Amino acid sequence: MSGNKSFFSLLFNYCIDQHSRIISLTLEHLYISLVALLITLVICIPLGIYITRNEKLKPYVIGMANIFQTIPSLALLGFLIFILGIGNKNAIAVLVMFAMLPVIQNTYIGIKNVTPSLVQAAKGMGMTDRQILFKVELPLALPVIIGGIRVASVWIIGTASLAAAIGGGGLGRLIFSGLSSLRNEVIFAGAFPATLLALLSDQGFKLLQAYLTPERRAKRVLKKANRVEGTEKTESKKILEKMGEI
Amino acid sequence: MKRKMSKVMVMVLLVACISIVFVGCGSNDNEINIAAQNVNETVILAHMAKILVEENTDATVNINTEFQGSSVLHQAMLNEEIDIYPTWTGTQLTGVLRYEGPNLTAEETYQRVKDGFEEEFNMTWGEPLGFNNTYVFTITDAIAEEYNLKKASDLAPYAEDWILAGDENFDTRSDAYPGWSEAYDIEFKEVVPMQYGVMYTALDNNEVQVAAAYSTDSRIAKLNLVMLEDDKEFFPDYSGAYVISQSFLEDNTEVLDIVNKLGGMIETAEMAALNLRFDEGEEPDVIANDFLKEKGLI
Repeated sequence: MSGNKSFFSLLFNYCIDQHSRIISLTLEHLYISLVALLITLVICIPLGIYITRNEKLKPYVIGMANIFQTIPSLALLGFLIFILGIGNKNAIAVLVMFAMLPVIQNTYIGIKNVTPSLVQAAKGMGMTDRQILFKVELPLALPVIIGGIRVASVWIIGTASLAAAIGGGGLGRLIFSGLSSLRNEVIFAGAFPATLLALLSDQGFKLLQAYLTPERRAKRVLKKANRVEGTEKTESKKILEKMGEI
Repeated sequence: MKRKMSKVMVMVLLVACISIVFVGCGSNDNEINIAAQNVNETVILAHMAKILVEENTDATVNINTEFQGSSVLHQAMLNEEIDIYPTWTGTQLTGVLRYEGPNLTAEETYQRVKDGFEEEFNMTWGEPLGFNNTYVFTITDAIAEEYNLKKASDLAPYAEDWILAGDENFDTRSDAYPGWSEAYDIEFKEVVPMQYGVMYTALDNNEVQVAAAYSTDSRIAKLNLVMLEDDKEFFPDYSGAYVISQSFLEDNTEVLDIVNKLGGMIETAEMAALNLRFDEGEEPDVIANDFLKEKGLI
């Protein structure tokens, strides 16, 4: 068991010695992941909405995202060196391609699953297509879309470690360096913060997802209305009580 | 009943497996076990040793070139499972002997690993084979010509605008860039660690101007790269040599002399050429055989 003991003391010493490097690499990891996630959202949410309006394109768009997601990311990184060169830029492009599928798919499914009668009602009230999208469909689809973003964020944070293989930064530097010099404490010092980031992001989006469910949002709206109307037992309070039972 | 039967079956199978392992490991007196890490260079060297020993003795030689790393080989020799393996002096100096001081010369490094292995592990080292597989700064021939670069200190005026690529540890190891930069008083604009093989693509695309390659790498010749001489002799020595178990040598004294026939016979460029043949798919025993014939050793 001396192996174990020395692993922890090695790890401890390494973390003390190199804490500023570990922190800056963690921040860089977070930066790469965030940029990749933002680009993914900017591309994929509109794309997901677009294919709900043009169903014919759906198999092609989903199929393409599916292919991107299936190609081993390391192979994709290697291939893109010839186009984008080495470094974070290339890594971010690969991460975006890799994470497209869950966002596109969930945006599509979320909108498709909005009860048609609600859309009909909105139409009946004279809403324009744009209003229906932004005031009815997207708010109702939001928890599903966030679910897709949640999956994408975990994938991105996990895969971002590969950036170091092609001269990018992030915690992968520690992981690859530890792997090539057979130093487990260095691998761990890179892998642990990366895992932690992924878990935190997963939990964060999970909470956000719950916070944005239509029920919870309706509750908040009604509570607000209550405060404005005063202490009388109003209609909205009754609804709230009913919802509490659900 | 059925359950009991299967338990008995499992026991029988287990015993069978264990006995096979034991029988497999039991070494015959007339057998010599040569092993190597599964990289081009050491595989070729293991085959050279095999051919030489077979030519000069009537022992049966077993060869296993599938070991992952030199620390595993060391462990196997401690367990007396293997008798000879090729490795690099610098690797075992920092690996097995955990040396962390300033970089040593080739002679000092060899003396230190030889003494250290003899005292601590009852193992000895054959003569250095001649080549040194250490870090070497490489540039494309176009850049070498344009800036007239021949040795590492020639980089001084350009380094601040240039990017240097290295393997995954190159930016942090004190015997790599940090120490080099201090010894030469040269700082690059940026040092980018990456997977070793990616470096060559980056160099080819001129995304990095200098790459810290390993001097016997076959790609240096293949891509027409120019090696810059380490004129301040900074990089640690990684001479190739065989490690031999001393308890094995007690019964086979002649083997040390046989292996030492290769001492100083392989220059760095020659090793790189042999590695290139291996990387292009030739069989290691053919490569080893050709080389030994060429040198008149068989």
